[in-house]
Amino acid sequence: MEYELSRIQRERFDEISKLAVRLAEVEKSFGPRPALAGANFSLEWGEVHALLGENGAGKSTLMNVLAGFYTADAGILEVDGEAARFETPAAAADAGIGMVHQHFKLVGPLSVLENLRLACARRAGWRSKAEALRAMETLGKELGFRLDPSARVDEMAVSDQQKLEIMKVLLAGARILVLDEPTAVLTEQEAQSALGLARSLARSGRAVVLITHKLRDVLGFSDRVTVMRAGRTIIDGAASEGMTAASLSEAMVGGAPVTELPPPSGSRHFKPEMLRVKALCAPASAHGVALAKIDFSVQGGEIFGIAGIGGNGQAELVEALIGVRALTSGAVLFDGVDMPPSPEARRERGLRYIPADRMGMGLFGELPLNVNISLPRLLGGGAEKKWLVTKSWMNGLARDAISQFEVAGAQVDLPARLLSGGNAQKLMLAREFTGGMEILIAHSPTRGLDIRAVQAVQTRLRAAAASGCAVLLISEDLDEIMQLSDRVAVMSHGRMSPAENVAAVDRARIGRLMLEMH
Amino acid sequence: MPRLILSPRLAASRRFTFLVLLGGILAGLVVSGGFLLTQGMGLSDLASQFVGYTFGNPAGLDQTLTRSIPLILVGLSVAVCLKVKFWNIGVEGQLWAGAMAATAVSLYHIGPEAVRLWVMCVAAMLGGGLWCGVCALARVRLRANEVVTTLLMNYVAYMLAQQLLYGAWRNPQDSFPVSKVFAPGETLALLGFGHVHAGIFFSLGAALFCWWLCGFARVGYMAKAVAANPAAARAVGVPAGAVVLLMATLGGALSGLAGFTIVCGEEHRLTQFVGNDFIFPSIVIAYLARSNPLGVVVAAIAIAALYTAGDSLKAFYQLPGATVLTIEAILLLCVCCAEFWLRYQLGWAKSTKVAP
Amino acid sequence: MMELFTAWVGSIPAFAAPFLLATAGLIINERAGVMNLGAEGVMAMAAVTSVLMEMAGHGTALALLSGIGAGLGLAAIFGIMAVFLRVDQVLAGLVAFALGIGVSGFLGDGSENQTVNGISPPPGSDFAFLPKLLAGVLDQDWLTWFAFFAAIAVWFIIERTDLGLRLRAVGEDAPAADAAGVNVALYRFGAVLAGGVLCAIAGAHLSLVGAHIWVDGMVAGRGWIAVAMVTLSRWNALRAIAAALLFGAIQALVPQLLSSGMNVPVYFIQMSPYLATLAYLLIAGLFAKGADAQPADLGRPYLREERR
Repeated sequence: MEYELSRIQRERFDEISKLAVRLAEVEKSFGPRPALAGANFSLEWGEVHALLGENGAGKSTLMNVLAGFYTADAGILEVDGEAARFETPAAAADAGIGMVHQHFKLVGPLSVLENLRLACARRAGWRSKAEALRAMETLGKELGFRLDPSARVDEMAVSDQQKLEIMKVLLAGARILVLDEPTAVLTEQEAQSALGLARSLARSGRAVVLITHKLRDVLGFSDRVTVMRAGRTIIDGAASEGMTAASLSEAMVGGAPVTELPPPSGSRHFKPEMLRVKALCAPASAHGVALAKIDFSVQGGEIFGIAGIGGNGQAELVEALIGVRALTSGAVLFDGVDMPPSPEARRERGLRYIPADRMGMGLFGELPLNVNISLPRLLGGGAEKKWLVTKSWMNGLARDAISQFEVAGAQVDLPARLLSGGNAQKLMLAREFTGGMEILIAHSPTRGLDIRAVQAVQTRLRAAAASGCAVLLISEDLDEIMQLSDRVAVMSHGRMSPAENVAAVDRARIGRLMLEMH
Repeated sequence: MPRLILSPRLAASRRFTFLVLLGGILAGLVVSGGFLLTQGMGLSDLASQFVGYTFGNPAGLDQTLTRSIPLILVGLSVAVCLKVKFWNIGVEGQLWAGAMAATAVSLYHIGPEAVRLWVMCVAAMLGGGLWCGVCALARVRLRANEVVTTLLMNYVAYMLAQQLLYGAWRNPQDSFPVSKVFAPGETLALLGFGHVHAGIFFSLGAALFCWWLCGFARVGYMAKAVAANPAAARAVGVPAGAVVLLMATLGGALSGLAGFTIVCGEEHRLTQFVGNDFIFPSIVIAYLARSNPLGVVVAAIAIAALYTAGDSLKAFYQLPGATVLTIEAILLLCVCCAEFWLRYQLGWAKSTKVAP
Repeated sequence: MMELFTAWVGSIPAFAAPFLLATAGLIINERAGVMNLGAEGVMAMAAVTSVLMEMAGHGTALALLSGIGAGLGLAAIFGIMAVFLRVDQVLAGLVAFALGIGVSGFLGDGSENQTVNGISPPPGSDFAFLPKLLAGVLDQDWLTWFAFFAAIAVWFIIERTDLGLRLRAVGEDAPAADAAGVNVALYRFGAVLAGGVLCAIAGAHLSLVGAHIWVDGMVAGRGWIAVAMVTLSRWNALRAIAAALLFGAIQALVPQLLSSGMNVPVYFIQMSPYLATLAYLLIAGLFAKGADAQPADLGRPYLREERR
C-alpha cells in the first residue's frame, strides 16, 4: 500500500519538470539506529509545504540532509532539477537553501549585525559594515521587522532571535526556506504572524518547508503536506485542503488507534494540602524570566496542572521548587512547614522530580542503568548502603525497575544514553517513583514520546495521585493538562493565574490567559 | 563513489577499550624505542637497560620502588581529581605545601615527640589539601578555571619554599639552603631493601583507600554522577559542590602526603628540589591507569622504572636528562591518539545513488 | 637610586616582550575555542632551534625563522591532536609541553651555555634627545618592538576584521559558526598555528634577545604564566600589554635588586605577580566578570554529526 503510493508519486515527479527540491529514498542512520529509512519529499516553487510527524519521525533529520548538516547514507537529492550533494551547510546555502533551526544557530555573545555579517557577508557581497547595515535595514522594512543592529543576540527575546534567523537566511540569498518548528517558542499572535510571513515569502516565488507537529499549522497555512513516521514518508505531498485532523493524526501515529486515556475511575479523595507556594519570587535564568509572586497549593491525591507556553517561568519555578534556584522572597511549605533549602534535604522529605530535559537534567547518559537507578538511594541520611556499594545490589535494583516499568531493550550495564526517548523516560519514572514519594513534579513528562509511551507515563502519573501523592504537572500541551489535572492554572511571563477547577474552565479562556497576561 | 566518513561511536566494549589502551602503549614504546635507536643505542642495550637493570638488578629495583612511592601518591592525586573532572595541574605545589608543613612540624617541635611523625604526616596532608582545596573552592563558588589556579599555586608554593630555605629555615650549621636534618624519630624507617622506606605502606594504603572510595563508597558514585552530568546530579540531590571540594581536597592531601614521604623517607630534611618534575608524570600515570587507583600503582611503578632507566642512560650513554620526559610524552601522545577510536569510528559511506 | 630606577624601567619592555608574544598567541588560540597548555614547549623548541642555527653560522634572520618553524611543528602536532583527533585539550596541551621540553633538551644537549650574537638594541641611543628615562624605555631591539606591534595587530584582527569575527564565532558557538558557513576545524587549526608562531617568536626572543645562549629549562615557566595571563587580560590582546608589563616589571626588578646588593625577600617579590593573578581570578569570579569574557566553546571539540 505504501509502496504503491510512492511509486505513483514518483511517476508524477517525472512529469513535473522543475521541482524546487526532490528527495527520494533517503537513508541516514546514527550508529545502529536508522533515523531515515527511505524517505521521500518534493517541494514546488511558490508553495508552503508542511512536513508533519511526531518527534523522532525523521523530519528534522531529512531537512538537515537538505541543508547540508548531515550527509545522507544513500538516496537522491535534486535541487531545481539538478542532482546535488551537500557536504557542508555552506554548500547548501550556495545552492539557495536556508534553514531556520528549532534551536537557533546564532552566536549569542555577538551582536545582530555581527551575526548577519558572519553568515551573509560572502554571499551578499558586502565589503563594509555600512553596506551590511543598509542591507539589513532594507530587508527589515520589507518584512516589517525592527531589530537593533548592535544588540547582543543572547539578550534578545526569542521571537526577535527568530526574526534575525529569517533575515539571515534571506540575506544569504535563500530561495528555499526550511523552518523547523517555527511556532514552538512563540505566543499565539507571534505564531500567526510568523506563519503569515512564511506564506507571503512563498507567494513571492520562494519555496517554504514548515516542519511542525501541530495540525493547526498544517491545515491553516500550508498548501501541501508530507507526513513522516519512523523515518519513512507516509503521505507524500498531498494537498492540505482535503486533509482532516483525523486523517493526518492517523498517518502520524500509525495503525494503532489513538485511544483516549479513560477518565479517572471512582470518586477522588483529596487529602489535606501538602505543597504550598507563598508569594514566591525568584531571579530569571540565563534566557528566562523572573518569577513574580507565585501562589498556589496542591493537595494530596490531586494533580495540579500548570499550563503555558514554554519559557514563561516554568523552568525557574521547577528549579525553585526542587531547591537549585535561590528565592528572592516568598516560601515553599511542605505539610505546613518550610521546605529545607537544599535539594538533597527536599528529596529526603519526599520530593520527586521528572525534568523536561531528561538527558540534561535527569539521567546520566554516560553511566550504566544500574548506577542511574540506585544513585538516589545512596544519598541523604536514610541511605540504604553506608560503606559498601556492591554491583549485585545495584543490579538487583535495576532489574526490578526494568521489569516493573517495562523498560524495553535494557540491560543493567547499558549506558543510559543508548535508550530511546520512551524507555529513557520510563527509566526516569522508575528512579523517581521510589518509596517515600510525597510530592511529584512532572515537567513536560510526555514531550517527544510516542503515543504508547505517553499513555504509560500518564497512567503512572494518575496512579501516583491515586496513592495520595501531590502531583504538580507542568506542560505546554494543553490537552494533556485538561485531561489529567484536577485544577489548572496558567503561567505567563513569570506570573501565575489563579487556580481553577478543571471541570469549570473554558479552553478558550485558558488560551487567552497564556497570551495576555503580559 | 565510496567515501570515508567519521562518525561518533555509540559504545565501545570493555575489551575494545582495553585493546585500544594496550595498542596505544605498545605504539608509544615502539616509537620511543625507535627514537632511542636514532640516538645511538643498540637494541640489546635497550633491553638490558629497560628490563634487565630496572627490574632484574637489586640496585635498579631499589631505585624504582623508592621512586614509585611519591609517584603513586601524585598519580592518585590526579586520578581522584579526574573522577570529578577536576584537572589537577598543581601536584607540585601541593607536594611542596605538604613537605613544608611536615618540615615546620619538625622545626618548631609541634606535638609530643612520640607521635611527631604522625603529626608531620597529618600536617602534610592538611597542607596539600588546603593548597588544592582553595582552587576547588574557587571553581565551585567563583567558577575560576582550575587549570589556571592549580597551575599558579605551584609557583606560589615553590617561591614560598625557596624564600624559607634562603631565609628562616636555612641550615644554621653550613648556611646551605636546606633545612636542619630531622631527628631520627621524625623519619620513616628503612625496610632493609636499599632505600625503600615505610612510605611505601602509605602509598599502597592510599591506593587501597582510593580504590574503595571510588568503587564501593557512596561518595564515589556521587563523584561519577557529578562528572557525568553536574546539572542532573544537583537535581537528584547530590551535593555537587561539596563532592568536588571533597575529592579535590583529598587529591591535594595525597600530593601533600607524597611530600611527606620524600622529606621524611628520602631526604630527611627540606631541600630545594623535593618538589620538582612531578606534574607531567602524575598526569601520565593517572591517564595510563584510566584513573583506576589500583591501576595507578602499576603505572607509577612502570614510570618509576622509566626514571631508573633514564638515570643509567644518562650515566652510561650520555643521553640528556630530558630522555624520560620525552618518552613519557611519546607514550601519552600515542595513547591519546589511539583513544580517538573509542569515541569515533571511520566508515565507508554506503554507496550513494546519483540521480541520472 | 635614580640610576637603578632608570635601568629598571628601561629593561622592562625586553622582559615583557616574551610574555606578551606568548599571551597574544594564546589569545588567538582561546578566542577560537582552543585551550593550549603547550606554549612552554613551543617556546623551548623555538629557543633552542634559533640558538643552534645561529651557532651553525646561519645568521640571525634564518635562526629566527627556523625557531618559528620548530615551534610551528610542535603547535601543528598539538593542533592535530586537539582539533582533528579531538583529544581533550588539557591533555593534548600537556603532551605538547612535555614533547617540546623533552625534544629541546635533546637538541640542545652539548650546546648549552655557548654565547651567540643574537639580537641586541642598536648601539647608541636613537632617542638621545629625549629625557633619559623615556629614551631608556624606547631604546629596544626590533624584536621587542615587534612584540608590542604584534599584540596590537592581534587585537585589531580579532576585534575589527571579518577574519576575527569568524574566529570569535568559532570560539563562542561552533555549531552556529558552522551553520554560517565557517569551517570550524580549519579556523581552529589555523588559530593554533598562528598562535604557535607568536609563541615560537616568544621563545626565540628569550634565547636571541634575552640570554644570547641556550640553557636547559631556560623558558622557566613563562609559557605557563602566559596561560594565566590570558585570563588576566580577559582574552583581550590590548589588556595583555598591561599584564605583560606587570610581569615584566617584576622580573626585571629582581636582577636590579640583586645587583644593588639590597637585602630584600626576592622570592616574595617574584611570587607577587602570581598572587596578583590569583587574586584577580577570585575577584573577577566574585563579580562574575571573567565568565563573560571567556569564549563559551573554549575546550569543547566539535563534530557536526554529533547531536548535542
